[in-house]
Amino acid sequence: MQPTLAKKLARRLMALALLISPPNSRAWIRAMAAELDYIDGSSKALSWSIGCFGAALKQRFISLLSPGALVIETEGGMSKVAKISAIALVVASALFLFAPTFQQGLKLTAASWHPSDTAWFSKMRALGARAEKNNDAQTLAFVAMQLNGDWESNAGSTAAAEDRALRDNYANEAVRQQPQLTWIYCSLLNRDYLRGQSDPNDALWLAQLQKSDPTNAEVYAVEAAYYAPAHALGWNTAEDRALLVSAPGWLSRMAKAFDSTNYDSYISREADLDRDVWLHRNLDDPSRLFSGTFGYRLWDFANFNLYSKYFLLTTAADAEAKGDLRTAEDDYGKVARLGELMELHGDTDIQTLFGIGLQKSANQHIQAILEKSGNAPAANLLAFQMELEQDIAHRISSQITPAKLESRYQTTDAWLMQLSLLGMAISLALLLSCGGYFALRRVVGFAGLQRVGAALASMGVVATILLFASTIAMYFGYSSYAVALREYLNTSNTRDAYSLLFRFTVLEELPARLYYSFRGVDFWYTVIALGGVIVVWILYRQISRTFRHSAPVQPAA
Amino acid sequence: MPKSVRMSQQTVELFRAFLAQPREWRYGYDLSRETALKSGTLYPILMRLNKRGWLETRWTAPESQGRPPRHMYRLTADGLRSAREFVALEALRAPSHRAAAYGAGRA
Repeated sequence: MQPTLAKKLARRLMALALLISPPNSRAWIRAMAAELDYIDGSSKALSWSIGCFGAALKQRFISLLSPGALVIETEGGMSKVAKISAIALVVASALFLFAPTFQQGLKLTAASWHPSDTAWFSKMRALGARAEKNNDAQTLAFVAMQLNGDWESNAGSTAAAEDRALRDNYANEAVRQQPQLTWIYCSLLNRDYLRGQSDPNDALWLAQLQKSDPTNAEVYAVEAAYYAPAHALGWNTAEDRALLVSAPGWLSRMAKAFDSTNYDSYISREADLDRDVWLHRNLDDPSRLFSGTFGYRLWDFANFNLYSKYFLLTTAADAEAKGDLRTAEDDYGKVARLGELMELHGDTDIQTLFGIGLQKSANQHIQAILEKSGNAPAANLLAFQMELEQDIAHRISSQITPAKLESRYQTTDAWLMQLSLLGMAISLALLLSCGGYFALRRVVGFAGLQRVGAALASMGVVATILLFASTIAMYFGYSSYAVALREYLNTSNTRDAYSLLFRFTVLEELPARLYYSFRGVDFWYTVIALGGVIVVWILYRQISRTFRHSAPVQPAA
Repeated sequence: MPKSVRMSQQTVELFRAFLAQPREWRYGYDLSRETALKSGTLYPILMRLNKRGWLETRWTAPESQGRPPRHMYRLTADGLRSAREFVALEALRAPSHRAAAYGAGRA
């Protein structure tokens, strides 16, 4: 009688079970296979063989987790299966090195432990030199934005001064080649202002900026900052007003800003430049993308806020009280107009919300004036416009939920990647120790240390499993970052950029957070001591297990 | 039997099957049918018992030509002693027995 399909399948499965079973339990799997011929009914046979396959798989898994049993069989050497498994795991782990996602994740995680601008700056200098040679204005502009060596670790050094000179040179060269890049001066001036450092080029850049974009409120706000008393620009204090009254330069520039008919913070242009150079110049440090842009622009918001709150709205209210409704409407109108420009032309949600806030602060007064002057249709229209704006503000605000903000600070993936890095480091150290031992044994020849060799070999197998698991964890840990980066690079929507790229900051800062949480303890000695204890414990466990081990009991044939 | 050793319900079931015919050699498939344990559960238990020295095994000649030899199992003397203790312990743990003991204590 021909065997049924189920029976055939059962036999195949049994053969597979025999193949995957580890040597020390193969006799048992053979015993299970023998029963197959005595089972009536195809479905029962198939069910039996499925159980058998599961048991074989379990035994194989156990043998991998406790490879001492597997290795000892060959008295100090590794069994063929263990060797093949170990090599396969190392090869599989090595293959991940070819995956850009893995490479980037590994590089960023490792770099987070020694945050340094040195490598990035030298890369930027080289990129700048090439761009200068190739008359590549875009890249020159990008490098100029990135070369801010005087900000971080090397402040005041010769290298910082050289970088600054190089930055100015690249910026000027980029604008000379492509005058439409003049906006980069605005970003550079913003950076300089924030850092409290004036630059010989500042006046020249401001003049060029205003010449190229004379109707833009942003360029006057940037200039105004240079005329403000250094300690005046808090966020929102009444004391600021008293200080700023005595700064006519600031007042006149802010007046120009509120008279402007356009608003462009150049944030989108900066993001586009970053994307373009990143994609075409094979850069590999996402944490440098778009870094700090929003922070710099917040100072302009402070300027707008102070001038509207303590000057325009105040003078308008005074005029209104005196019955000079025309002047009042005019001043309120300036605030509302700039708010509208920010709402319409802002590149980020913050700008839109800020613009709506400015409009609201002025429009409610304008509406009252319109009603007072008997212009009910215009007052109603303004009320309708305010309702719409409120709705827009509500919709934007509702998208910024606590859960969304919390997810921005979520560190699970970052922790997974840091643990993966640790796993990789431990497994590579173990593999090197094992490799070194066996290489030495081959050269010198240690007689009588077979059992130590077996323990080391089994530790090597454990190390390959750890290496593979860490590699997989690193790959999947970084995949969400890779998706965010891809999304950022492939979209022209600047509004989500901050959220998309913020996670890189979280990853970067994790070791620092760990370090600060251990302040008071000598952190690195603790890490080294703990690592040492773990390694000694693993070694002790492996060796003692090997010496205690007895050969597995085989069923009598 | 060490006091700390705990046996799964399935292992106790298997002990019961062995104790029903303590000196007989048993086939794996028969034990599976008797205890309703799947092969994937039964054999790892048999392997563990064998490793502890509680189970002896042997191969028998095939019953008819063309069929493979079969593996047979029987509890060793140690295995029988332990099996009896575990089965007794399990019986004491059963809710009905606890209830009976509680009732007897009150009476």
